[in-house]
Amino acid sequence: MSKKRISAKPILSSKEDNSFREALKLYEEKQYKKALKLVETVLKKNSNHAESFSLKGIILFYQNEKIDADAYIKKGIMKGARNSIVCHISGIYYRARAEYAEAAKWYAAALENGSVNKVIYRDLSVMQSQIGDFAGLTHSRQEYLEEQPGYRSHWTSTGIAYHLNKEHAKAENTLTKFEELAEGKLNESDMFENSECLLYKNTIIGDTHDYARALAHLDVIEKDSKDKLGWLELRGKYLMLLSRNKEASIVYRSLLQRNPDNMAYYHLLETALGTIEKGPAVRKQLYAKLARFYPKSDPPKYIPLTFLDGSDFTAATNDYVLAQLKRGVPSTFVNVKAIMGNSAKQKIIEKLATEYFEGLDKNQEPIAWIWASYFLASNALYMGRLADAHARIDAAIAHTPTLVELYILKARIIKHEGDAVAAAAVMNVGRELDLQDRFINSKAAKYYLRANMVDQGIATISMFTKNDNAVNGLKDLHQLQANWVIVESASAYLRLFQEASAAYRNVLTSEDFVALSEEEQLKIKTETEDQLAIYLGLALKRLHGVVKIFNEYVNDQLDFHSYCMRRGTARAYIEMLKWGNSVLKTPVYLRTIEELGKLYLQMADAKKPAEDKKKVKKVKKLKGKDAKRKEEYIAQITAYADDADPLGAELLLADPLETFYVLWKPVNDQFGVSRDSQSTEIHRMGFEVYVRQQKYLLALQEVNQLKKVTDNTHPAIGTMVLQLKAVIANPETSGAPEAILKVVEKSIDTYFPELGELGDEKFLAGYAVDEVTQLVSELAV
Amino acid sequence: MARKLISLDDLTPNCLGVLKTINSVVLPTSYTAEWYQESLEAGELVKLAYYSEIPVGAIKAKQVYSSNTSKPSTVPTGVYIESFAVLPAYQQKGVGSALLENLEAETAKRFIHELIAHVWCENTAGVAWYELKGFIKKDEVEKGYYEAQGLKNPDAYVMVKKI
Repeated sequence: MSKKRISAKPILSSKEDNSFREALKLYEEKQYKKALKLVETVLKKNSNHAESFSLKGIILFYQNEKIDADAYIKKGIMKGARNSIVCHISGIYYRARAEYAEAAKWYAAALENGSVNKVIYRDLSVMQSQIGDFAGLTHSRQEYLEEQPGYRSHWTSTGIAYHLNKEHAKAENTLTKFEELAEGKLNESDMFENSECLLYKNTIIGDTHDYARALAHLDVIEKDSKDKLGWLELRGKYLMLLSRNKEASIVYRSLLQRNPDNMAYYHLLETALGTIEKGPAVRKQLYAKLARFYPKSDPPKYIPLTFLDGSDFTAATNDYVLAQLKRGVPSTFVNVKAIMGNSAKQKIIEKLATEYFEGLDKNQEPIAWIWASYFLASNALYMGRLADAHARIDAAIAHTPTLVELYILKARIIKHEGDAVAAAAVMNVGRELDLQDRFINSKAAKYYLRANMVDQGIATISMFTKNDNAVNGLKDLHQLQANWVIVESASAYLRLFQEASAAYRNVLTSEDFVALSEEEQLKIKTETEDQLAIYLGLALKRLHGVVKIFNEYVNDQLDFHSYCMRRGTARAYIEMLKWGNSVLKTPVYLRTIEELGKLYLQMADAKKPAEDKKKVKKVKKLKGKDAKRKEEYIAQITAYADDADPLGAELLLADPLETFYVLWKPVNDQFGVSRDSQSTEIHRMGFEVYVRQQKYLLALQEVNQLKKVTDNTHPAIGTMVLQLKAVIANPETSGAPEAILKVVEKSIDTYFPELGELGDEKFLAGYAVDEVTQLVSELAV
Repeated sequence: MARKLISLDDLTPNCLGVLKTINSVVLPTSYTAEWYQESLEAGELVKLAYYSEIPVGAIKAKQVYSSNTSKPSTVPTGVYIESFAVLPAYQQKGVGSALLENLEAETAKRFIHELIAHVWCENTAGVAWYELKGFIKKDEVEKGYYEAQGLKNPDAYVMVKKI
C-alpha cells in the first residue's frame, strides 16, 4: 500500500523523458538499483530535470538512504514545485515519513497542477482523514466517488466525510442514493455491511436531533439490522429523548433480559420509569423484583445499597456484604468500595462486618474468618487507620501464610506507611508463593520501581516477557507498549536523579570535600556528574518512550481510513476517531507530559550549554573493567534494538523549551477550550512555556483557561497574573513588542477585572497559597 | 458450592514457595534449598492440598531401600514420609487424611508394602492421629532424632503402616 502508481503522461517526447518514464516503471516494479542508474543518466544529461530529482529522492528513501533522499526530494520541489509528478512523489515521500499534513499538501498540489491520476484523491483523503481536514475530505471523497461509483465503500466513505464535516443532510443523501441504486441487488454476503451502513445512517439522523424521524427510520431498517443489541439501544435512546418513557422502559427491560449484569441498563430503566424521583421505597420494590428475575446477577442486589438508608440499609448490607463474606468472596470490599465514601453507610458496614467477624472461630470456619479479616483490613486501610490495618493483616498472614492476596494488601498498607522498600519486599514474598501469577508479578515489579530499585523491578517483570538475545525484557516491554512499566521507571530514575543531586550539593559544601586535593575533587565531580547525567538521560529516555508509543497509537489509525470503508464498519470507525481525538488525554500520557514538563522547564532554567557535549564523549573512553561494567549496564537498560543512544545522552542536548513545546501542544489542542479538570497541569505548564518564549498573550490565554477549568480557584492563578503584570511594567526586558504588551494589559483587565479594584496584594490573597509557590518563597527567605 | 472443598495438586516450580512456607510455619524441622529443589522430582510422592482453593497442606515422601549395606538393593522396601504438614487453622478437616490416602494409594501402586514416618515423642496428638490411620508405633525410639531442632525431648517414634 505504501507505493502508488505514478502514471506519467507524456508531455514532451524527448529522449530524457523516455528514460525517465522507463526509470519510473522500474521504480514501480521495485527495481530500485536499475531505476536509480537510469535516473542518474537522465540527471547527467539534464541537471534541471525536476521529476528525476524527486524520483531519485524516493528511490533513495526506500533504499534506506534517508538523508540523501530528503535532499533530493527538496531539490525536486525547488526546481518544479508546480510539476504534478514532483508533487505526487513528494506526497508519497512525506506519507512514508509519517508527515501526513505535508503529504496531504503535496497530494493536493499534484491534483491542482493537472495530474489526471484520480487515485491520488484516495491517498489524499486518507491523509486528510488522519489530520482531521474534513472540509477537504468531502471534496476528495466526492471526486473519487464520481471516478469510481461502482463500490459501496466509496459511497460510505463520502457519507462519512460529510458527516464528519457536519453536513448531515448531504451525508444522509449520499448513503440513501446508494441504497436506492442497490435495491434488490444485494447478495447474502453483503448483508452485514448493509446492516452496518443502515445503522450508521440512522445515527446520522439521530445526530440532527430529529429523533422522531430517527425512530421511524429505525423501524424501517429493523429486519435488515444484524446488530440487535445496538438496534435496541438506539431505540431506547430515541424513545427516552422523545419522552416516550413507558415504551423506553420496555426496551430497557428487554435489554436487561439480554444482559442482566450491565449496570447501565438498570439506571436507564430507572430513568425511564421515573423511579429515582419516587423515592427509596418504590426503588426497593423494583430491585426486589429484579433480583428475583435475575438471581445470579450482582447489580440488583448491589444498587439498593446506594440509595437505601437506616434499617433498610442494614438489612440490605446483611443480604449483600455478609452473604459474600460467608461465601468467602475475595472481592467483597472492592464490590462495596464505591459506597464507602458515605460515612454513615461505611460505619454500618464496618459494624456489621466486625460483629460477624468476632463471632467466627478461626479454626472452625477458617475460610470465612480469613476473608472477613481481609475485608476488615481493607476497610481499615481505606479509612486510613494504618496500625489497625497492619495488625489485622499480620494476624491473617499468621493464620493463612499461603494466601497471595494477603501479601498484596500488606504491601499496600506498608506503602501507605511510607516505606517503599519494605512494601516491595512483602510484595515479593507474596510473588514467590505463585510464580505464575502475572498480577502479583506486575505488582512486585511496580513496587520495586516505586522503591527506586529499577533493575530489580525490570528483572522481576522480565519473567513474563520475551527476552530473546537480551538480558531482560525491556525491549519487549517497549514493543508491547507497557506504558505503566515505562512511566514508573522514568519516575524512579527521576527520583534517583533528585536524590543524587541533593546529596551532591551537600557533598560539594561539606568540609571533607573541601579538604580534598583539586585532583580528587575533580574525580568525584566527574563521577557524580556522569551518574547524574545517566539518571536524567534515562528518565528522559523512558518518558520519550511513552511519547513514542502514543505516536504509534495516533499513527495506527491510518490504515483504518480505508479499511473501515471497505468493511463497511462506519460506526466503529466513528468511535475510533473519537478515541483518537482524546487519546492524548489518557492519564498515563498526561503524567508523562507533566513529568517531561517539570524536567524540561528545570533544564531550560538551568541552561548549561556546550559543556555536556564533551562529557558524552568522555564517557565512552572507559577502559578495562569499567568499560565492561558499563557495557553490561547498557545492555540492561537498552530499550530498543540498535539504539544509538541507549542512555538518552542526546536528549540532554536538545533545546528543552522547544522540545517540550512540541510535545505539549498536541495535548493542549486535544483539551481545546473544554472544562476538563484533568487539564489543570497542562495549562499551568503552557503558561510557563509561553512566558519563557516571551509569548505573553498566549501565556495569558493559558491562565484564563486555567481559571475556567478550576472556577478561578487554582492557587497559582494569582501569581501568574502578577507575573505577567510585572512583565508589562518592564517593556525593555520583556522581549516582546510594545503593541503586544498593550493587548496583554487590556486582556488582563478583561479576564481579571477585579485586579484593578483590589490591588496586587488583595488580589493575590484571593487565591489559596500554592504549595509550590510557598516553598519557593520560603526558600528565598 | 459444587466444587470440592479439598483438592490435591502436583508440586510445580511455580508453587515451590507454598511448600516452603507451609513447612517452615508448621514443622520444627528446616529443610535445605537442595531438598526443596529435589522435591520437584518426587512425582506423585509429593502433593499440595488446597482447601477452598487456598493451599493449606503438603506431603513429601521418598522411597527407601534396605539398610543392609552389604547387599545394596534397587528394590524399594518402603515409602518414608519426609515432611507432612497442614496449617493449624485447617487441621481436623480431612486435609491430612486426603494427603495420606493419596500417598497410600501411590505406595500400593508401586507394590511397596510399608509406609514409615518419624513422630516427635511429645507430639501425642500426632502419634494418636497416625495410630488412628493404622500406623503402629515401633517399640524402640530413635534417640535424639530432633536434636538439631532444639526440642526439649528430642526422641522420635518410628511409626509404620503395612499396606
